[in-house]
This record gives sequence, structure tokens and C-alpha cells, in this order.
Amino acid sequence: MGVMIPLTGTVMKPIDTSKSIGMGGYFTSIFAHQRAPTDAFFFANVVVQNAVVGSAYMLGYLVGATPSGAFTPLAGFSGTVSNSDFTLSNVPSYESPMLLELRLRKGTSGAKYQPFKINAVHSSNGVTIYCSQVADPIA
Amino acid sequence: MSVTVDNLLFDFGLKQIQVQQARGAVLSIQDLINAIRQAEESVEGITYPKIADATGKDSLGGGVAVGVTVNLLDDWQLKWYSNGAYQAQVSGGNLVGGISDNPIAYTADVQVKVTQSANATVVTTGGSALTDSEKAQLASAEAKAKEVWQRVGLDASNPAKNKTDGGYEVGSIIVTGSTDGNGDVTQTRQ
Repeated sequence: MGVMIPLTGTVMKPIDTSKSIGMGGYFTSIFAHQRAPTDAFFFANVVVQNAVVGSAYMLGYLVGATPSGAFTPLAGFSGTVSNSDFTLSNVPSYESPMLLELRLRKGTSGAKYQPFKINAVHSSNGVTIYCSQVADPIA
Repeated sequence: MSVTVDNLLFDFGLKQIQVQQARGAVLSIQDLINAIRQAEESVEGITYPKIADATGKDSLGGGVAVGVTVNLLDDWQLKWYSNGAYQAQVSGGNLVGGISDNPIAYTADVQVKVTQSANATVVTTGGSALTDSEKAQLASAEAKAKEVWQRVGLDASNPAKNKTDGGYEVGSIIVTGSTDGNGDVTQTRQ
């Protein structure tokens, strides 16, 4: 049943309660969630396989999901490889699709390897990246 | 952001490898590529694309290998500090790439000498130490060469003396001669 309230002028008009959400004819607020640009679409694991132990690694993504996009590091996903197979947990996805880039560098001590990078599209189901670093006979 | 490795400062913003060596010091290609790989691995460096490619060192046998060529990528250049007029030098391989194929950035009053070769080689020196057997062979060869040197009279402190019997003496070498019925002389070392 409509509630009669005065509007500007002399016309009295019933409010269409069928378009509001509430109980007993009272008005209620409708809240909506809006995704901020800094919020991730999802989080998923990235499994790295066959990395050379001792390599420095950094995971980031290429803006625009194109190979020419700017490399943007993902905070908290860099360090030194201690096991050839390891998992980076809860990697955020800021684009859909998001083109990940994993970089591996080992040129300081012991056997040295050429700078290595590999790309993969992030997935809510997780993604596995297999690395094939190449020894560097020059350095 | 920048990273310093040995005497090389890598400025990732300017894409310059600033050489901070003493005036006149020689920058070897091997030292350069070693430092580049270290800079690429650094916390700052890994956020940027690789600086250079390097090729070479394919073995040609006999301790000789194809020379090293360092190719500076993505407009990277070497730049020597301005410190008066002097000449710098890059040696030990080829250096290519850079802005418009110029790997050296201009520095006032600094002349950089770069030796390039279409077929550069690397000759390995040093290697493992001699074995006892190899040492003995070398000593024997040296001793024999010394005796030949003395026999032909080139050792001024040990003059060679030819004897009337057909033998001779020089240094510690004594050779006697004996003549047979046909007049042939046989020389025998004592």
C-alpha cells in the first residue's frame, strides 16, 4: 500500500514501493560494493618449477597484458630461490587478464646463468611456470 | 636508481654504465660483462630488462677461443667520468650496441680507445701446473739445448776445445776420438 507524502506543489503522489527494498513500508538504504582499482580481482597461487637455486627472482606483471607493457613488480613476490620448485601463494590479479612475468637472474656467484624471464596469464585456478634457465659461459 | 659494481656505476634511469676507474686504466670486456650480470641480479637491477647480451668463448682448440662480444641493449652506453683530458681503453673483446650502435657516450676531453675485431679470439694462458713427468722432459730438453749451445762455441764462459784425437771438450762434456784403420774417427762421450 502506498504512502502519501506531499511533493512540491499540490499534487499528492503515491510512492511505488515495489521498487524499494524494505519491510512494512519503511524506506531502507541500499548498499553497493564497488571495486577500487587497487583491489585484486582474485588471489591465486603461482607454482614455479625448475628454477636454479641461488637465483634472484621477481614476479610482476606487464601492464595492459601485452608484451610491450611496463613491468610492474608485485610487492612481496621477490627474493632468492632456495628450492628449485616453490610456490608463491595468494598472488593478486589486478587486471583481467593479467600477464605475469617471472624474472630470474643469477650472475654473481657459482655457476652463472643468462638473465631469464617467462610470461604466463594469471588464473583464478592458479598457474604453473616451468623455467629453463640457460648457463652463461661468458660471465 | 643506481647500483655500483666494482668501479662501474649502473644508472638505470639514464641507462648509463659510468666508469669510475682511475685515469688511463683499462676496462676489460670480461670485467664489464661480469659486472653487468651482477647489476642485473641486484634488487634494483632485476626490476629492469637485461642490460646486455654476450657471445663468444667457443673453443677453437689449442687453448684458443672465439673472442667475447658484449652487445649493450636498449640504448645502454658506457660513459667515462670527466676528469681532465685523458685516454681510456676497452680491451679483451668487442663492444657493440648502444644508442645508434654507439656504445660509448660522449665525455668532454676523454678519448676512449676500443679495439674491435670481426674475428677476435681469446688465448687461454696459465692452465694447470706441470706434472713430474712433464717437468723431467722439460729439464732434459733444456740440458740438451745447453750442450748444443756450448758445443757450437756460443758459451763465452766455457770455450769449446777441439782435440787432436778428433774429440773435444766444452764445459763438463768430454768427448774422445779414436781413429780406425780406415782413418774414420769415432767420437765417444765420456
